[in-house]
Amino acid sequence: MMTERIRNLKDFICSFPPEVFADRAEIITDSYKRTEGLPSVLRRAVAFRDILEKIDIHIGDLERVVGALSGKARGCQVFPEYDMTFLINEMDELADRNTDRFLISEDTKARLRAIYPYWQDKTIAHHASLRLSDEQKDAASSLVYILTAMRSGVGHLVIDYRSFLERGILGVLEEVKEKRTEENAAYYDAAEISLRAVCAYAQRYAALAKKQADAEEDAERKAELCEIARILTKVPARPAETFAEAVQSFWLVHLALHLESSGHSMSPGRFDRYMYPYFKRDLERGVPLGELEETLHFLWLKFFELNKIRDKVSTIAFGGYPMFQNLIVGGIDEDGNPAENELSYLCLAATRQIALPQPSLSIRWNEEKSTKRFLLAALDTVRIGGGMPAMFNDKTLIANMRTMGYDEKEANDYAIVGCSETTGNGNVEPWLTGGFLNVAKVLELTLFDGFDPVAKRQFSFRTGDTAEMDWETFYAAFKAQLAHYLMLNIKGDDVLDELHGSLCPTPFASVFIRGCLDAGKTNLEGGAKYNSTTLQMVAVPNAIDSLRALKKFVYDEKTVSFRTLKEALLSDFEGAEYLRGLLKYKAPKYGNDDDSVDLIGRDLVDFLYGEVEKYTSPRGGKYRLALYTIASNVLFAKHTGATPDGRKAFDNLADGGVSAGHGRDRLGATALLNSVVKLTPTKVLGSSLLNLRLTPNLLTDENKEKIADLVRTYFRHGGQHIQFNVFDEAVLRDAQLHPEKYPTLMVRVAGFSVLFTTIERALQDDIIRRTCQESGGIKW
Amino acid sequence: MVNKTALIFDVQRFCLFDGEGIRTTVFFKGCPLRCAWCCNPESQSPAPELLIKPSPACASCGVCLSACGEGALSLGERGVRADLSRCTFCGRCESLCGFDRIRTTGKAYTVDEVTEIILRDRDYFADSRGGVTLSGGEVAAQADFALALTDRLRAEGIGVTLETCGFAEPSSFLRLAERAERVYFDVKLLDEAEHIRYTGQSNKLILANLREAAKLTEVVVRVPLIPGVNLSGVFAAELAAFLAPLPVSGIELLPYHRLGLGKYRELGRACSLADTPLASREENRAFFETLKKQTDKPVRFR
Repeated sequence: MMTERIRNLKDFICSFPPEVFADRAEIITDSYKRTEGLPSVLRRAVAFRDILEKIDIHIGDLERVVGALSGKARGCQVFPEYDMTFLINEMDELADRNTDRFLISEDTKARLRAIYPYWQDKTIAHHASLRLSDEQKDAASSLVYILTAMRSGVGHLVIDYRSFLERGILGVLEEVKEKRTEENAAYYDAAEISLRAVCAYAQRYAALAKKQADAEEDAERKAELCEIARILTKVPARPAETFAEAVQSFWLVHLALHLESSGHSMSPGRFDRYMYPYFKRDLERGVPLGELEETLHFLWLKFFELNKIRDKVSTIAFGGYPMFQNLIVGGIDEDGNPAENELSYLCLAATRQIALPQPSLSIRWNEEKSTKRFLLAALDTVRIGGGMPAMFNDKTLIANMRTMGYDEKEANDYAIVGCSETTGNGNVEPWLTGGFLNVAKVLELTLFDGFDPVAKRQFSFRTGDTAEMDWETFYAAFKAQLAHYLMLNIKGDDVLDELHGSLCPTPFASVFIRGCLDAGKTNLEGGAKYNSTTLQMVAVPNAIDSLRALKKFVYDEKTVSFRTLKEALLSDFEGAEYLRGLLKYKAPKYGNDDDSVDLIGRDLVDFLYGEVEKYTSPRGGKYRLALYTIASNVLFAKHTGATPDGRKAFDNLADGGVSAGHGRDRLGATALLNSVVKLTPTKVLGSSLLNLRLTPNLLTDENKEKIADLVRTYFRHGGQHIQFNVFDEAVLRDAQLHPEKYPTLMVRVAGFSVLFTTIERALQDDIIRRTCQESGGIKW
Repeated sequence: MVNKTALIFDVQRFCLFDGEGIRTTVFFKGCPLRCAWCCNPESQSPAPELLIKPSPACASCGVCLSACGEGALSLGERGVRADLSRCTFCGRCESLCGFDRIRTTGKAYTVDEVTEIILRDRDYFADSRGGVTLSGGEVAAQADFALALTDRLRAEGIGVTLETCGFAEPSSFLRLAERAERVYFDVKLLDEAEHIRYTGQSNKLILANLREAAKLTEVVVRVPLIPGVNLSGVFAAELAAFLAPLPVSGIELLPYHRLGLGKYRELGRACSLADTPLASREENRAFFETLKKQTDKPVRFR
């Protein structure tokens, strides 16, 4: 049950936009000025310590789990070490831009402007711009790809939460000392400084709680503040013993990760595994379930409160304040035993009741070990319409973990980071941010021999005049273009990989990634036991459909000449509406269980897999193929001209990753799912993401079980992931007209949920226009 | 000799509202009844027809007219019109309409062809205890094919549910019913004259088939509730009395809707019930309550 107090706290948090604060930025500037010449890893640790010593802290009136990024609820900090230019340029628009609005005071603006000159030649973005080639930059500005690690930290980790919960930070510190080598003394010093800094940070909160308790007149609140002080005097430095201690310990460390680096997708991972012992012990000691549940709810609100500020372009691709804190429940444990427990169910219930987009809740489904009751409970949460939990298939993902080299126990213990990315639990730097490649754009470049008709830019990589080509030659040219831009993207990401490792290592996070303390270096420098990087392919369904339509009309039936087609595309089908209709309606489309198009998709995925796997990152891990978009499809769409699948220029590109193009999947959900599993889920090792939208009447009590069965069969067929949007279109349309009526209306974008009214119009429309699966398929 | 093909107007996958689990529904074209409220008018004629979206959806571009070698299409005020007497159903107009506004309804399928589509979802049937629903039109009007298909599916381990209006030659109908896991059997009116008036046929054969089918398999009676036709307490009482001695497992009520009106327009036909007002929730509910009081069988809305 959600208590009145939780409801009030939720209402309070949701009642104002987040605000940007300058204190972290100022502290790190001062710190960096004092540490010039020191090894990066030490500078980072000292800066982290300085930040935790001096940054504003606060404890809200209603809170029982404490710790926030700033001196006010929902505040966010600035990370000048990655990039500051965007903020300086855009700070005056933050409060009224289309999406992800932030308050920022004139005082904060002035303080940020004052430190800007120091950072101009020191940021990741600055160094990257010096090292990326003109071609790489041009391709990025044509939106052939997005390099995501340009302006922000890397994030995307599941750390080993269990280590500090069980041993305390001081216990972990012992390990640091034991493993210390003189050769890597700087790293071990940095680790020690970081760990001690977090202990001191907790003491600051304890002292604040004590101070507030002393001034508090309400006896109940006074006692509560004393208890908060007691807990923070103990954890995370020492082992947690109660659930409340474990939650507070978890939160303080999780929060600190967000002050070390601005990377999002710091994911709690298998929360119901490492928190369960504390929960169970409390229950056995007679702590009322309601109290434990309320503690969990306080934490859920904390997840929502975390925030980061992004540049304007990024808010199109990643709009709605997403933090991608993926928290996954269920599945099996390391040894293959069922992992779902009472806490798993409470997590599902917490998201159902609180109904806010963070944490990004997911479940693992294990065909043999999960109960159907668990899946039905998950669907009860899906039913509220927020798109959570996302569902992941143990069968395929454990197999994929083995393919990636994890041992059996590690594979069984996989977790999900961010949207849907398969990762090891606390033992890997997975760098799930290698870039997003716009496959539809590459097709456009192929059609026009390296010319980008949108940006009016001729690229140097050319594959010939397509009008002269037969089908095989054309398809080979497309693959050559794909291979080229994929290489360019990867080489660009390698630059960023080296820069993050050399300029912005994360000594604090690294302590909780297995391998780093043995290697004597951070996760960003290759210290983790495992390393990989994923490269995300976007708009693959549009490319598949385009190839199929082109093959049909230009080559098989020869009713349309290549020249005519290209002219129509260049003019955005001006005067060629009829041709557009043929392309759109009269060629088979991916998502309808039709091999003549789906197998083109499979061939393309197999090709991309082969290409991506050729590359190794500077950290020594392989690149891995992924098919998920976040909302990059919306950004890419704005820069991609008309395509041969009958899509108008700048119109939507397929969402999700393996979801069909909007409105193209018409034969019902089973046909779509059959198409999806043809895209070789065992080669898409990074993640393959499926958005499925259902009409609300398909998730009634009567039909819920059928949807559970739908998921089971899809997973039996090897699907990796599925998540649902369940909403009434009229409600979303009304919310566009009257946003004030829907402050907490939640929808699923790709691997994350958002409050609908906080995202920009183009993304709202994208969500509304996705195929809505009905019983019996889509009516004509 | 089994008919090699059947005229089918749709094979819909992922159907959740016609029985257990996830189902594929096969719609047979051709029906002996002409119910005034029919919401699938394309199901009535036992021959192929053209569905054409009227203008402004139809852009009146004329491509289909020049594509047609038979001169079966013409342009009128409301877009393209078809003269079915000249149409050979070659499909050229459909394949060349770049606006997807014209479709042939009713295509000949072999048992193999239908089975191939059905089998694509067999694992979904297995996991959800679903299967195949044969619907129409009237399935039993193409009984030989339906029997062959049913046997084929049963051999594949896939259960079949039948939806029927019951107006069918008894021996093949009952063989079909016997093979079905469940039969959804429409009962519209019990008064013969009224039945003739609204459906064009007597209900004698229908009711006889119902009595026999209920002995052979699970039968669920379905009643469309049509205002001014059968939505009355009197009919509810008659129905309860008629069904009392029959071993039917339940009664499903289908409130009248007008979702089929667009299809009448696409066929270029008028719907005789176009002006019939929709019943209110309360009127439908009242029928439900009246019936429920007088029958021991489970009653539900579908």
